[in-house]
Amino acid sequence: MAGVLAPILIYGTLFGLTYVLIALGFTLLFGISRVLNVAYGALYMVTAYIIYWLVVEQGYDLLISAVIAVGVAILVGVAIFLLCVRFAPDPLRFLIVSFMFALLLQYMFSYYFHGASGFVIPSLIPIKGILIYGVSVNPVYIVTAGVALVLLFALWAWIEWTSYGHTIRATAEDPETAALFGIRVRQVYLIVVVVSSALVAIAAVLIVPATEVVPTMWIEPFVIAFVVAVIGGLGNFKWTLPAAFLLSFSQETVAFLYPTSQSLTDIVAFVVAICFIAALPHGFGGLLREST
Amino acid sequence: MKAPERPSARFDWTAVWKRFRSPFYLVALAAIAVFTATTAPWAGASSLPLSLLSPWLLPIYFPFWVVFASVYLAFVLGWGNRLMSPFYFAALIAIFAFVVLAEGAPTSYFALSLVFTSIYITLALAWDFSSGLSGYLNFGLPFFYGLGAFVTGYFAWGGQRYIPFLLAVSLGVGALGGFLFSFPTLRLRGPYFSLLSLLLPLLGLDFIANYWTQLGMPTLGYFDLPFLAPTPGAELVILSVANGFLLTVLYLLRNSHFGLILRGIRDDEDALSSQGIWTFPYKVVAFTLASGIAGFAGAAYALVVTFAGVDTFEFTFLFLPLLIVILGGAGEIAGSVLAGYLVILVYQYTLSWFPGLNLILFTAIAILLVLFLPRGVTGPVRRFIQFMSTPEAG
Amino acid sequence: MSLLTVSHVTRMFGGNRAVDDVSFEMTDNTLAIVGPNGAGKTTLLNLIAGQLHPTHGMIRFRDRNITRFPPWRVARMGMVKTYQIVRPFRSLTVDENLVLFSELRGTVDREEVLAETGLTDWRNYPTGALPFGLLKRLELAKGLATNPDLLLLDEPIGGLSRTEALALVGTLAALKARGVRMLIVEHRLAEILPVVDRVLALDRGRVIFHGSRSEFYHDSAVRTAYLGSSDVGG
Repeated sequence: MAGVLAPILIYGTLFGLTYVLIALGFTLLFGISRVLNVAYGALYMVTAYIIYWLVVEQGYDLLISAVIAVGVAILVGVAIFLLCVRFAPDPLRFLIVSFMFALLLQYMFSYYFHGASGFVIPSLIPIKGILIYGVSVNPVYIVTAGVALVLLFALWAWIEWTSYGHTIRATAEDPETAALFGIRVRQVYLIVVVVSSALVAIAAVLIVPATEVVPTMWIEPFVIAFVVAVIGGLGNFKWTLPAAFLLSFSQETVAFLYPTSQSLTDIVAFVVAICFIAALPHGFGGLLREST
Repeated sequence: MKAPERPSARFDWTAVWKRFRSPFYLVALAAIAVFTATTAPWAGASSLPLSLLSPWLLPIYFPFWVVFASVYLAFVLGWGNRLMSPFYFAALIAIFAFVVLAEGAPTSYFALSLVFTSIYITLALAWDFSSGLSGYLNFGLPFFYGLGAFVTGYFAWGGQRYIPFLLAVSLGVGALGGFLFSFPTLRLRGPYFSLLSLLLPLLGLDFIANYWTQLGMPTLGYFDLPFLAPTPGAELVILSVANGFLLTVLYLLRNSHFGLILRGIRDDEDALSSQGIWTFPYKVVAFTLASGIAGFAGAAYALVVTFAGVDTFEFTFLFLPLLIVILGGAGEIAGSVLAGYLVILVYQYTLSWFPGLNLILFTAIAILLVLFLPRGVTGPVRRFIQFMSTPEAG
Repeated sequence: MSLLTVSHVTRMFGGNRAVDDVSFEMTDNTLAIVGPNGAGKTTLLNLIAGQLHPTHGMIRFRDRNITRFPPWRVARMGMVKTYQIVRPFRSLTVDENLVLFSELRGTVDREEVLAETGLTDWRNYPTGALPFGLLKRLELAKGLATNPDLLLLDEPIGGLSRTEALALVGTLAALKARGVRMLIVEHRLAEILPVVDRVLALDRGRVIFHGSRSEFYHDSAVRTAYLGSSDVGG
């Protein structure tokens, strides 16, 4: 019995929390500024490539490189956001332009490394598998899960309890009125973008060592972030955790039932998202919402 | 209060008959008949004493009767005012002009480039009509493109090598797929729908790439498919005729009530639905049509390169049509044709000069264009036209 | 036959009763729904139009239960709401805005609608170019283009100058004279009451008055709740 449940429970929980970490910045950004930033995944990719270049090609120290990479990702994220907001403020064009930025970065990295792909970057956490209840687990995910929990709580505390968090929520509700009350809306957005970019970059630092670096790697974190956000109710980031768990547990269950299929997980994500949208266009958050 | 009357008779057949009998239309009909008769493959045009006009009356132009007939029909049926746009005529002329240019060297790189250009234009037309008009950015269209290619490969390997059948089936499968896909997803509003539709091609790339051997597909893809036509020049004619016909039909739809509703959806869907219009079926029809066209384009592509593989799900088939539509002005339809020739020809030629870098160049230019020219190149022209035609108010 | 019957309709948002057990019937006249800010007028209008669904209660239009109908279905049946904050279709011309709806329920003569709302000269202008006063008229025209049996007007003269408002009220009077039935939510009592037959007054979601216009002028509950003790004017 435990042999059946253990992998699903353990992987489900760990991957679920990993998804939380990946999705957190995206949901935050959307919840506050109402933009769907396709380039979000690209920041994940940027972090990974910077670390690769600094550590593997240039030989710098991993920790310092990680910090620099996060910094670069933040800068890129802010730059893209500012450009888009300034010149393409409506959600549809923002979407197209951010998508194109993601493609641009993909092409740039592909070109710079002459099409070579499948790099591996070193990890801050030892990768050797540990056994938990007979299930082989990569410690990377344990640490990631822990960090996810901490950051989730920290973010929530920041938004709900601090006065600046209050400012942010006011801006999210109604930017025009907030501006009338002296809130510096652009500054709020900027800070949110910085935090959002930092979150996805940190996720990359922790997770990417367990996978590989390819020019199309921006797609997966984006898909995860988006699906989690949709299930949770776009903008409703207190529902990120249950949404991520729904996704990870359904994936693990399917993976357990059909162990030979590798990319079934993506399909499951897609199917789950579609079913959710068909049934509950506003996700979990919509269930409890009263007005149209 | 006005008593609700029955809707006015939608069709005025007496006016149609009158037009048909008028001298201008009779001459036009005669011209089309002459053209068709002289270019028909069985007419033996080369033996006729029409040497003065012979470059334009080669049998290879025969399929163009479809385009001429459809334009004629549109006008005779009273819809001519919907086509009276400089962009439409410019696009039609461009299509024909490029065919004529290519016929000088039907097997050259130029002709082949135009073939690819035409396929991209077909995709752009489909995208412009569905997404450009309605504002529902459907990033899933390349999935149906790839699907069309696959269906063609599948049937071709199954022994069915009759080209029209392959094209028709791919169109049908594409349309069916688009129809099914619209149901759960079109209930979402704009940006959410767009993001969800982005998952479709990703799914295609992922699923197909990993699963196709298990589904009984050959490991390297379906190769050795039949050619669409014996020479690139001939292929170009077929595709150009398809584009010309599509352009006409889509332009007519764009300027009809149907198109008006789609534009209303882009402007303010909630206001539209709160005042009595159920928008869902309009969106579904637009997307089904677009997906069918994409399926057709995918089949055409497979038959041009005689290969159907995973590469048809690549992002280039999303990104380039998108760029074309933006450059041509979203919702303008005819702009997609004009911009298509420009963009893809440049793309094809720079592809051979800077492989890899041209993608970066293109993406960067595309970003700049979207940021600074949201209504494409046709935007300023359209505004000018509107300005000139706006009456002075009292 | 009563045109519109609202029975014990309540709408809650969380613990807040925005509309609290409202009932009224409307036959062949013009009704105004009035009340102070937050009284629930716009919520009630949205409930009637189908954009919101009541937590309790029933709404019948032309003797059919429309409580759970989506807005487009209600509009198809002949009851159309216009927006307080105007929502024109900006990339279309004025005439095209009307074409969208003019074939929905029988054919509506767009020229007539344009003439009635004073927009004839502006018919080919893109709506993005129109000043606010004309946009308010367009909002009315769009409603008329659907050939409605009952027009729900949400603050039709909100934001207009006194002159513009009086002109628009004149249009409403003309519409009323040719038989268009209207339900009007409005703040600006002095200007709107002349075209109104009956008044429904709300305060904090509850009906505090329902009667004729002249009765409204004299009702003390209304005066206290809504107007203090100052004169209604008009």
